[in-house]
Amino acid sequence: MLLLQGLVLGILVGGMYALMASGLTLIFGVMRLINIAHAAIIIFASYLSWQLLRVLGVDPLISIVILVIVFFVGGALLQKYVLSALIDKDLSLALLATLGVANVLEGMEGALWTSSFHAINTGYSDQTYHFGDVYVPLIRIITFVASVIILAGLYVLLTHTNLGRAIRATTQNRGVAQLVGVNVNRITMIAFGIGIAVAAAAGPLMGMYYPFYPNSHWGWIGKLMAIVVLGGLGSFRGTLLAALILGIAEQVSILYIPANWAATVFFVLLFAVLIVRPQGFFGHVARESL
Amino acid sequence: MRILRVTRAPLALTILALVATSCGLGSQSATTPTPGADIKVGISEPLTGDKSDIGTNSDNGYKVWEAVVNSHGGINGRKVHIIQYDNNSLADTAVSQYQKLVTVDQVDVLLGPVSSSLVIPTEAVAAQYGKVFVEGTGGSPQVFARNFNNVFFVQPATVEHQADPLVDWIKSLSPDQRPTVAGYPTQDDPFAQAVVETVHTDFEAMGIKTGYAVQTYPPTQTDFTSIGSQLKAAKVDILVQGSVADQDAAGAVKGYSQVGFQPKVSYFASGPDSASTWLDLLSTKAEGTMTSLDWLQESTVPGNKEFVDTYLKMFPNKDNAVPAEAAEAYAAGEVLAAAINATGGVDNAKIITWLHANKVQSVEGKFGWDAAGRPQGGTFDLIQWQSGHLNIVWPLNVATNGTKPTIPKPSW
Repeated sequence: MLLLQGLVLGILVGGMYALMASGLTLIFGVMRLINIAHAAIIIFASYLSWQLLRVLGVDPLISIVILVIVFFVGGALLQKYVLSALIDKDLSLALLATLGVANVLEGMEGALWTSSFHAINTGYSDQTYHFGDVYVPLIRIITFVASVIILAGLYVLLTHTNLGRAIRATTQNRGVAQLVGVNVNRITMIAFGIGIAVAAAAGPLMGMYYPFYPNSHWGWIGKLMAIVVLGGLGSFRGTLLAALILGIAEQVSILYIPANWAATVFFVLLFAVLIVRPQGFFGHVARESL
Repeated sequence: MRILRVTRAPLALTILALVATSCGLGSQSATTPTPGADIKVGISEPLTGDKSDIGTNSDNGYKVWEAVVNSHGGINGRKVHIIQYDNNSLADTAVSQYQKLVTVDQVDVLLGPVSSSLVIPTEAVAAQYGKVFVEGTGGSPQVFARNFNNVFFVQPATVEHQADPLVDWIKSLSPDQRPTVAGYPTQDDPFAQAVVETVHTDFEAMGIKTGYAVQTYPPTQTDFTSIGSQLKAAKVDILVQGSVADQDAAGAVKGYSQVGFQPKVSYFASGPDSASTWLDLLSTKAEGTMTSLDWLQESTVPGNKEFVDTYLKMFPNKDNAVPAEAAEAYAAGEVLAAAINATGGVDNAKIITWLHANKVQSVEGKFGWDAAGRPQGGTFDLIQWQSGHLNIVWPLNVATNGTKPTIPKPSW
């Protein structure tokens, strides 16, 4: 029964991990840029959702809609006016800029909300359903369902729309996409905005799960990067699979080995997979002429 | 050669990144040179990182002490000036910052950082330079294991005695009320482990079975649902959690409630004493949670009213609450000030000798220290959240308005 409980919790938390990491892999796919600020943006969205709930009484699930729009615009502007110029010159400068964004957000959060821990508590935070001895917290069901809806929307966008086709074409080969008429600069800006918007959607959901504080993003970014690498850099379905594996590995392994060691299980798995498939589950081997 | 041209906006952000990064990895919050007459006090605190909540509380306590002392004209007519760094909750950073405080900033005296895990590595730096090291929160056995004579822990007792009132209370319960199976999840931290290991030994001697042994989890642990499932499966009815910060304590309560783990008694090494923060994080789930207390906001000991009033003036909050870590830091400052005052200067050897020979009154009470810096003669109280208030519930002779511990605690 303990194992079943662990599996259920693992799948539910894996859904949230998938949402948190999908924006990161989308941005990498299109821009070849590791957005170090990704987790910081998620935490920032958590703070804004907490503030909206506290001051205006806006439910975190409603705040997702507001934050997605605002963060999409903010992300697109950041890409257009800051990152694109840097990427054209040197990718490492853009990487450094995302580090700067992470630190600016962290400092701002500390100034606005102090370094104390925060958590988003709603009227439905406390409810738990149980089926026999297996407990399923309502908040985790909501978070999982919300993640599935958002990820399904993202999937439809990428596979059934012209915009999605253009994004995928840019992801696969930027040069060829440009040759066939795709405005890759515009598409990159929109894709980055979408990646940031997905991160914003994850913020309120994460904030309902776990306490957060200004620099808690450092703990998350390593985990999210590991998911993206295991899934295959830039691969959407790979990210989903890796996130579910991480969730289950965390929740199940802790039942059988001490928690201190359980935290390493996923990374052991990551190393094992990378030895066999250095490109991750669904990644591609890059071939470039010298 | 290709010349790199970067537009102004990205360049500005890049510079901002470098500046911000350096701030995040250990920034000095007070760099103004001080007049020679000032007493320079060096401190490294975790203002960011996983100990940022207790670090900020402690830092605020030191700031209040500095303000109060200077409002009274300083110590022996010399103003106090704190030079402080943020160690980002990293022991290595804290060590290098204390070395810098002594060698570069040339401070006169040092005060310790919050938590045993930061005191243990940094006390050696102070000993190396012969500096007195008064600190208010590092009380685990390892702090005193090396027998440094310069360390002085300013709480009524060391942490292995923190949960003594819990053990005493459980002993006092009738057999039908007494919990029978205990669980001891603990953070991988010397303070937290010392608390739960002592209780574990005492409970085993009392016949309380161990359903979940002393098992450590990492400081980054945020999801406690699986640990909660194990505690529930083991039928644990008294939880003794070695929590260090609000993150793991509140995260644990949330996780346990989600998987239906409902013990009769829940004791946390740290967390429930963080007053309004605890309530903000947990709301009604805070009800019935317990911890130990070394200081009470309403205490009538000399100096406490001035401390509390000044704290609330400098750091106003909607609940008018003062966190315990602030009082512990303030008390450390009081002890240091008393020694400087009595010895007539900042000769660290004289200060150390004086502190070993005298009892000192602070907001934590009046007590002295043994040769390794352990406080002598004080005790902790057991506190519990009851109807939205934090009450002293044990020993009964000091209980708030005669309240008694609630058992079983309300469901969370």
